[in-house]
Amino acid sequence: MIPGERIYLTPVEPDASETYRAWINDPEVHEWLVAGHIPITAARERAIIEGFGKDDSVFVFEIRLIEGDRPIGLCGLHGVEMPHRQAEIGILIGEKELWGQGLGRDAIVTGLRFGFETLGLHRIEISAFEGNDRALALYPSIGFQQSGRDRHRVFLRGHFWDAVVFDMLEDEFRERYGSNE
Amino acid sequence: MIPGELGLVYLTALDRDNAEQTREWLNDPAVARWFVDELVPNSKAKQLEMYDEADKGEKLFMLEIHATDDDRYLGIVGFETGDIRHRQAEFGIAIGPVDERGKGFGRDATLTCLRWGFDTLGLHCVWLGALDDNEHAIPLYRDIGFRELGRIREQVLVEGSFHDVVYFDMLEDEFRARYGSRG
Repeated sequence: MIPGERIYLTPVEPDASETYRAWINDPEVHEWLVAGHIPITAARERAIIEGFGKDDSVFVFEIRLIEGDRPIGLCGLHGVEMPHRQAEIGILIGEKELWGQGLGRDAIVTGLRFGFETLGLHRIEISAFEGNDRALALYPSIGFQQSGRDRHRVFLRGHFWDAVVFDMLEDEFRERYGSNE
Repeated sequence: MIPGELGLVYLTALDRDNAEQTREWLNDPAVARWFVDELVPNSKAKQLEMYDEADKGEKLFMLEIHATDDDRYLGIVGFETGDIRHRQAEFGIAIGPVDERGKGFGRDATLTCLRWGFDTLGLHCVWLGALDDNEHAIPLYRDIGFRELGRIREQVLVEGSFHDVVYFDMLEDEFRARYGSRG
């Protein structure tokens, strides 16, 4: 269990894959995700979740709201590369009624803390597709710096969208968020 | 979940719990009569192969059709793609219950699946074949905007007689010109 402020992170559970699948297959939730546009079957989702436990380059967590102790989304570090100490972080809040309350920010900061302090990462990347205005505003406000732009990175809803890439270095995290000690 | 273009249906991932219902429909002679290349009846095991193939998400992109008003399961719709570089796929649809025909569900499911194919799977060309005496499907495909490109004469044997298969296609630009692009 990795504590945040109003949330905590805990490993994903294959037995909860139907909950995750319901989030990801929801058009409002997957609007700016790559997953879910091709509806995921139960077997496929379960295989993906089970696969996370077998791959040491991926750490995906369930985000749980401390109040009421219930799952509300997913947050994960993907593409963990050693010895370069890099990864990419991703997030989704599946419980839509909880959008706009700062829980995504809470989960990202908690995921960053896990990445920098537990995995010992040096640099963590996050990207948002052009058009995802909430993410494009949120990530800089967390302290990410824009590092680039991958043009026409994905094809969603009949259009190609640029990915705006942001990153944060370990020293920048510590300066802003301090140590957990 | 993919909301319907016309609001009558929505499309979801295949649910294995519905495999026997699907098999019952596809094995119904009133439904199977119109298939161009499916040899039915299917065994349980054979039916599950479709579900295994759809789970892979590589070549078979089959979805469930549900009625918007009460979520009831109506049938299946989707694509079988070929070599990815060509971005082309064969379209197929089956409305299972015979008493659900003629209510516009097939039209909505077809339009919705076409938009999904062009906008999400990134298809360039969608094509299909219909039996020459399929007097429900052929006018519908024409009306939706498919172009009739020809027929292969006496291509399939159905209930003891040979039938022509009439082929239709639609290109992505034709779909967008007719139904618009999403913003």
